[in-house]
Amino acid sequence: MSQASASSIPATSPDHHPDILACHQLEHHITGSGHTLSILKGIDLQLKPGESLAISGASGSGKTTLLGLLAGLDIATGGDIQMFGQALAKLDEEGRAALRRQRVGFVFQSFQLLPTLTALDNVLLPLQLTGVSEAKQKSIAALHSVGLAERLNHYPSQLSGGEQQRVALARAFAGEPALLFADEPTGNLDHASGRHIADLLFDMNARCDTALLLVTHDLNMAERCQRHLRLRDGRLHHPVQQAD
Amino acid sequence: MLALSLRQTQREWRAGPLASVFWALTITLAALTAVNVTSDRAQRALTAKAGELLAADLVLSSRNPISTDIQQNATGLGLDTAQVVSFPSAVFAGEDSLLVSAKAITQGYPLRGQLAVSNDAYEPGSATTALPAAGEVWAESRLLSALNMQVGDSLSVGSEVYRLAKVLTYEPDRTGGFAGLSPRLLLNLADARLAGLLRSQSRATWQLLIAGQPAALERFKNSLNDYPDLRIITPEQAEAQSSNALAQATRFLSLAALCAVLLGAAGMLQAGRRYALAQRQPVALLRCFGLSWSEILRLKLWQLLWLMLAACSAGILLGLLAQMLLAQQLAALLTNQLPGIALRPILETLLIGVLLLSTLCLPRLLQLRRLPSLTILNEVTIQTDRHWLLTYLPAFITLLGLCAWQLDNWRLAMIVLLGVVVLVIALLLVVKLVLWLIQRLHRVSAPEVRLALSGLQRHQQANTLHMTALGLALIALLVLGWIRNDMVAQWQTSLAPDTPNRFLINIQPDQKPALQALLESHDVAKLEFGPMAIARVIRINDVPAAEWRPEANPPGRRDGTVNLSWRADLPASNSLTAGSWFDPNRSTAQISLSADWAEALELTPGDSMTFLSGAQEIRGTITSLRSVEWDSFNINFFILLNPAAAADLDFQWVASFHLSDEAAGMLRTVAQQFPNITIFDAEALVRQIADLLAKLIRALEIVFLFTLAAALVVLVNAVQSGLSERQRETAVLRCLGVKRGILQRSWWLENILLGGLTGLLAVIVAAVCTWRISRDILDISWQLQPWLALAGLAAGLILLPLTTWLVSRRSFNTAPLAALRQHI
Ligand SMILES: Nc1ncnc2c1ncn2[C@@H]1O[C@H](COP(=O)(O)OP(=O)(O)O)[C@@H](O)[C@H]1O
Ligand SMILES: [Mg+2]
Repeated sequence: MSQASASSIPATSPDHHPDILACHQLEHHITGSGHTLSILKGIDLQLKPGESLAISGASGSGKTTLLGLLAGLDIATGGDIQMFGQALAKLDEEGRAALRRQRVGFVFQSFQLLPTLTALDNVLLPLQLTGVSEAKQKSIAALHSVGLAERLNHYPSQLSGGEQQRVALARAFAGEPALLFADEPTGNLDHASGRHIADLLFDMNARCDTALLLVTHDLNMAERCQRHLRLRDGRLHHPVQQAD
Repeated sequence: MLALSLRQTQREWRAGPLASVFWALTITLAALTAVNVTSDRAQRALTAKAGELLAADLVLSSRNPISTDIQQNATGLGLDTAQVVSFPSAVFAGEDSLLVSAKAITQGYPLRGQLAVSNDAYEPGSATTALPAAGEVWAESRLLSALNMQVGDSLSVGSEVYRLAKVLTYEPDRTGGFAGLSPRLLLNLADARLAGLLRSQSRATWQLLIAGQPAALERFKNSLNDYPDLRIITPEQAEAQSSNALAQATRFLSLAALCAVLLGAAGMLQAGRRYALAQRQPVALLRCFGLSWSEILRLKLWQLLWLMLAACSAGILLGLLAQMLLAQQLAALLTNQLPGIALRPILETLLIGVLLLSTLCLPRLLQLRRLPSLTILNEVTIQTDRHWLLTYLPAFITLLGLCAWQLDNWRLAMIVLLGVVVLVIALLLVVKLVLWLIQRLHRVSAPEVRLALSGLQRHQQANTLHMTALGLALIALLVLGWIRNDMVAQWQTSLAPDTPNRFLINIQPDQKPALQALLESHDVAKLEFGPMAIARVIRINDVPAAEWRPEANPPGRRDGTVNLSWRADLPASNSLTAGSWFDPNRSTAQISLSADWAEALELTPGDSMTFLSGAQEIRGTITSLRSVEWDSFNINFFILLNPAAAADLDFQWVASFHLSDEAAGMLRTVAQQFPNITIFDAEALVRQIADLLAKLIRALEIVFLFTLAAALVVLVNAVQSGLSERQRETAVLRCLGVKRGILQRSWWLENILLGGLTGLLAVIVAAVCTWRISRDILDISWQLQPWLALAGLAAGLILLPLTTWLVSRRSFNTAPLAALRQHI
């Protein structure tokens, strides 16, 4: 348990690239049936292009909530977030969606493949819809790189969990996004498949020079990121350095 | 975007809901196309005929020669006129003779429409403007075959001999009824006078045909107030009569189509809901990937457009195929060929397709806009059903409009639709109540039974949906089937194999015993005699008859001459609607009127009427009104007296009976022994009507198939929407070690219970509905139908478990893990 840094620590990186994602004093409360639940209580973080940042925490600590806010899928009750230099609070839902277009990728804990589409179509559809050129070649290439070249026309129900998540990885990276949000990408997988997915994720991350925000309760995986912060009691902490 | 949306539609097709929307829409449109195209064709056939139906713009009709003043008056106003006298007569050719319905005409006939003639009995006719010349007659082919004659042969009518010059194949103003039963003989009015045919003719109808400018016609009509004895017939009246059967037929088909449409709409609502639910994940996902709502909406709209194109073309094609069958059946109701298919009803159907899809399915899809993209992360199910008013109001308005348009009656449409809504709500409540009651029975020990009973409770939401959907579908099917059976039963009693098919009139009282003996020796069925006296209504409520409600236009005639009959008991095909039947103990004259006749003259029990028959005057009080089944082919009269009141009247007997084809030769004996008696042969008419009804029933059954198809869509939709929940539960229970056999047995038990309950509910509701519909809308008598009720029950018992099993059988066979994994 980290006592070293009781106050939240700004996750600042040393160089002077403009931040691709940053938040300042981010707070989030949920009011329901008279109670107010404070999930996030003042979060500061910055992410530079190509950088990878892991946020770990116990289940229910608010990781997914934080990721959703940073990705602009929901509006924080306090503080501000900048994505690609734009303040999310100033944008409406349409504006935030437009900001993500072609530049942001997602990997979800529960894969979120469309069950009616084949592996190829699952990768292809967002590219086509967001108007990426040469969508088909890129999709096939992406599926190749996750080792699913043979499974292009299989439906999600015909794939194992690990394979489904590989399709999701292909979908996330095929558009060569500048920023990738990953929420417990190995959470629903057994150990071996989880490792494989993690390998692929970091491998592709390095190759595509994508900034990665990884949210996980798996400390091993979190350690593989360039930086690692822990979310506890609504605040970010540096993790206790583990003696090797 | 176009290609992409098309491709996406193909992709989503596999998932189910989109295909369900397609089928529901297709079936709805097919039913609408079939019925609307058919009734449009029938309607146009009628309108085209309406003007011709009279062979004039206006006809004056009387039992006596029409004053030449009237004709001169018409000519003076610039109107065209022609005279027509119709009367029964006998034709002789060598040894043979035949009763004909003669029509004597003057130059100018017909003023509207054309006659058609041919030179041979078996040739098709061609239109002509000529008329029979002096010394010539034209006759229908039936006369030629009956008398074994050829064109050019001679025949005698009255005191003269005529040459048969042409075969008459069509006359515009040919009507059915008794006048239409014997073959037509057309001749010149001057010739008819010459032959003495019109002297002493008590049964002739004199008509003056008039045609010309509307304004002149109007002025002419106003000048007729001085002649109250004349009956004025307009094309509208003629049309109303002849189109009655067809109107009833098309109204009933519309009603049947409406059942299919409402069920189809229910199917679309369900499928639309499932589709919208299935779209939540992709929409949220696409929002994550940065698509704007308008882009997503555009994609979905394109997809709906493709779907609509496919469903509209399939539906209209299917509908057109079905209307070919329908038109074949309905053509029997019209004498001439049906006109071709018009574009209008097809375009209307297309428009309805667009409307249905955009008000039944689109609102749900639009609500996805409110769906936060965040749902993709934390998988909380967000209730999208909250805005039910927004979801259902457009649907309700569209369906209301559609019902009103289809039934041509806003009030009725509102009643039907609210009825359906109330029905659904009532079903929901009853189902909930029943499920609650079942829960109280919990203390049974067998695990299957316990599981089944608790299953009813656990799946309450899905079960309520299944039962309501199946219940609605069954009710629609039962109502249609029930009404069909009621109609068939009605027709069968009125057109039983021994329906009277021969009528004798003008039987003198002293001839009756001998005639009756002769008829009975020839094994005739349903022989019935009735007395008849000709009388004039001279006063109504002590006011001269002509001054009583002068604007009224009762069925039959109001020129003062009526047929009176009398009997002690109420005729079998009549039923009292007001007052009480004759009191034998009262010596004063009592009158019973047919309800429609009394209604037209605004007469009620207690009013008085005075008749003059021969030299005898009878003043009586109306004591009852009867509803009369005029289509029962029994002898029926508008006016009946109690026997005592008619004791001293001069009268004749009329008789009706059924004669089999083999015994038909005995009529010759009747004609020889009693030459004064007139014989009407209604066999052809009875056959024609029976044939027509059979065709009508077949038409109904075709539309019924659409209703059945729509019902299946609704049911399959309902079952599919609860499927994943059920599969997951099965998987969990199996993981927990519950034996597959127990699961399956409890599953069957639950569904059979559910189906049986639904069947029972549906039968009860259908019985109540048909009871109202039969009485109030279709005017036929309602009967309890135990077989249909049993069939409804059985359908519930079998259909629900079977459909559910067919749709969900895989969930029993997949490994529990696989089932669970699909739903992570
Ligand atoms: N919409 C919501 N309504 C109520 N509570 C919520 C909502 N979203 C998240 N929470 C609560 O906030 C806490 C953090 O949730 P989450 O961010 O999903 O945690 P994690 O991803 O770290 O497991 C949980 O206790 C959760 O129950
Ligand atoms: Mg989480």
